Amino acid sequence: MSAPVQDVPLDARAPRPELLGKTVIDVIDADGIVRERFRFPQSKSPITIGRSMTCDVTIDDPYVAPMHAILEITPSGTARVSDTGSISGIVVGGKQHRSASGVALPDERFRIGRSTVRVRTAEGALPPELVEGKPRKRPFAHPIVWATIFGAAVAGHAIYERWLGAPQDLLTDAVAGVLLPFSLLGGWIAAWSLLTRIIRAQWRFAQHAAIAFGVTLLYELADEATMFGFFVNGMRAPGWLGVATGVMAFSLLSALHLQQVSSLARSKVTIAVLLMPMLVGGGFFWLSNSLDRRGLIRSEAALRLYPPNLRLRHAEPVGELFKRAVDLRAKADRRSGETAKDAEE
Amino acid sequence: MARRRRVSTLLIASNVMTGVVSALAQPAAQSIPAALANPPMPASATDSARSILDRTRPSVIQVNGFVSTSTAPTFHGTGFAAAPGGYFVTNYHVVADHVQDPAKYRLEYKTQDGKSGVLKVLAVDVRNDLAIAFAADHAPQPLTFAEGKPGKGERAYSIGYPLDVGLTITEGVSNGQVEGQFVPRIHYSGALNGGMSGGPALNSSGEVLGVNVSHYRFQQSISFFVPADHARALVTSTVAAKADGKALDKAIATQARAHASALLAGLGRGVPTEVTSGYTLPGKLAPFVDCSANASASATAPVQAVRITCSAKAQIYLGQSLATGNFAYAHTVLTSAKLDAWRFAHRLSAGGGGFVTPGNQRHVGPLTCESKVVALKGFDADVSICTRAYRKLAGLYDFSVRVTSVSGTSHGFTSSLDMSGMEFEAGMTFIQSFVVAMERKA
Repeated sequence: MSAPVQDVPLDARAPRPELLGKTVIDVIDADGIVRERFRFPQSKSPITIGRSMTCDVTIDDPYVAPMHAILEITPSGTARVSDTGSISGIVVGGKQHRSASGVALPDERFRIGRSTVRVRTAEGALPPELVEGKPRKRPFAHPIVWATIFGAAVAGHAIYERWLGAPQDLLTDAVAGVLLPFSLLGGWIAAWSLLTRIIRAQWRFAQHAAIAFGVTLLYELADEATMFGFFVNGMRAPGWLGVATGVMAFSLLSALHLQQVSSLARSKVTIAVLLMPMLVGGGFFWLSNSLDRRGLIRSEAALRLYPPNLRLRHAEPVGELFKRAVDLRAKADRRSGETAKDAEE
Repeated sequence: MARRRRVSTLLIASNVMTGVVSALAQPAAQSIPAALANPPMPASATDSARSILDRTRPSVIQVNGFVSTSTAPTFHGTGFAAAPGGYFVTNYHVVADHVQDPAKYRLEYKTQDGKSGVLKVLAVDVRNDLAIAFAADHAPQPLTFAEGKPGKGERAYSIGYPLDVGLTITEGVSNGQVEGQFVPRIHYSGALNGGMSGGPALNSSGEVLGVNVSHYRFQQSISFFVPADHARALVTSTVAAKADGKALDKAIATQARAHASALLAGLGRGVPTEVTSGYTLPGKLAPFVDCSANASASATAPVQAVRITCSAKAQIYLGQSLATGNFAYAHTVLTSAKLDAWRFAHRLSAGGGGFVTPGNQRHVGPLTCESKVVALKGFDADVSICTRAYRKLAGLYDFSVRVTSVSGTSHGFTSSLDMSGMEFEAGMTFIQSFVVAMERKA
């Protein structure tokens, strides 16, 4: 078996007929990045693929057998792959083949181990050229820009909270108020970056910073907005709402960080990002209900006040509240009955 | 300004230190240094103390509680013979564990000469913290009850088994019935310690003037007796009715309800108010309600606060982590000449949030709340009413109410009202009159 011929120069003045048709084999890792490219003349067939250095195409993937697959290229340029009896076989178009021979490659690729092998020959049909739109300016494309914007907004909110407390020395208080969340978030971001470095060999610091600051900001805005919304309507927000918002934000945060760390497909991560808050939120709701029934936590309404002229709804007559309060007796009795079993434990 | 907190401690010597009991019934040795607990004693007093102890000793028993068949006592108190035939008076809180769970805790007496036997609780009076225990095999000469109430300054003696030091007599002075207190108590300036609960308090003729019940922790010899007439009434009715000690739990619930009704009735119909920083708020509602106020220390702080705290000492102990009759309310009035409306509202809401309602889930269900912004006289307020039901004390509820004014931009208040063990309708009626009494005069 001959070694792969790499970067064979094509000399126009001295055409070499054996290279007019050629086979290009790309080894693509789980992130979709081409790790290695092999070029062969089209006449080269069969091509052996495996982890062994004696193979024509050597793939450095521990899930690949030393001698895993054999690729045959017909003179017309059609590629067919055969499994040589490996443990995990080969996957073509989502279907696993073990010890199969002569499997066609409808999308020019197959998977062995955790790697994808793309086979292109000169005869392969190419899709038409895409129409490029007008070049767009994307000043915010770089995550560092978002990280800076979100980080500044989080700092602004921290200063606002200190300002609310009307401290004697706002500056000192504001610095302390900013330092605390930033040191916590800094550690959080660094931890995720380190994890990404270990798993994907990339720091992605700006991405993690943008995610951490962005979700923190989102949580703070959502919290303020719901509390304000309840206030203007003359109501108290349920006590569990604040914690529930926090849990949702945290699961969104984790999902986004995980997306940076893992090499999952974007669609799968999107589903995870959507589902995780629901699952975590649902789990939390069940847990808080259960703890509340056991009297371990209480979910009374929290109160946050804003200037009185922002309240939209008129106060109701005090008698109305006491009319409704009569029902509390039945509710309290019912809840006491529902929780009688828990209380016995 | 430091507020003095007076903690009234029941005088049961208990090894069980859980829940409220640990706060109520810690052995007094932990809280009162022995040197402070001894009142000055005149030289001539020793003779009469000795003769009173000699006469009384046969009638006094130690009441011991054990966990099932264990022989190591779990708690102990004192009792004394009050009627012929083996009827002993002690405190309810001494025998409460046994009454609440007779299968788990058994009760025994032990005399000064080492005799012991089974005690059975026949009747209880939880409002006055009294119980009648019966011994089938021990019927010493009963002590006689004194007629009338003891006056201030009369010599008094107290007998019991404090902690682990054996039968003890202490000498002090009766200061008569405590004024302005919902639960009647005789103030005794003498030492009472854990384990003396249920022991007799005697006058210089050796007649029973009260029953040892509690003392203030961290104070010097401020102790309390249950007046003797309650003990005599309970003994008389127990003997006359041939009480058998069955359905004590029903009797306890009935007594707790009666206590709650009497407490709310004692508050009267009208709500007396007082004006603080322009707000008319419920003031001292009854003579037995204690109020105290304090204000912000700094005159330059952006927000000035006045806090008024009121409570009635009307709690009755029913068992481990179970007490009803708590009644407390507080107002925090804030004013500010410096802060903008946004920050003032924030400051005000910080005081209107939390509900801290102690209670054990074994005894009470979860809280259920109703809250809304309502129009009161001259201002709007966020009113939140929470309630929960007692599991075994049928018809009793805890209430927790928070009122926060939401109209002012430079003045406002938060009020809290907490009541435990009230009947629902009477409680709600009181809450309504409490809330409706609030007023802002521009």
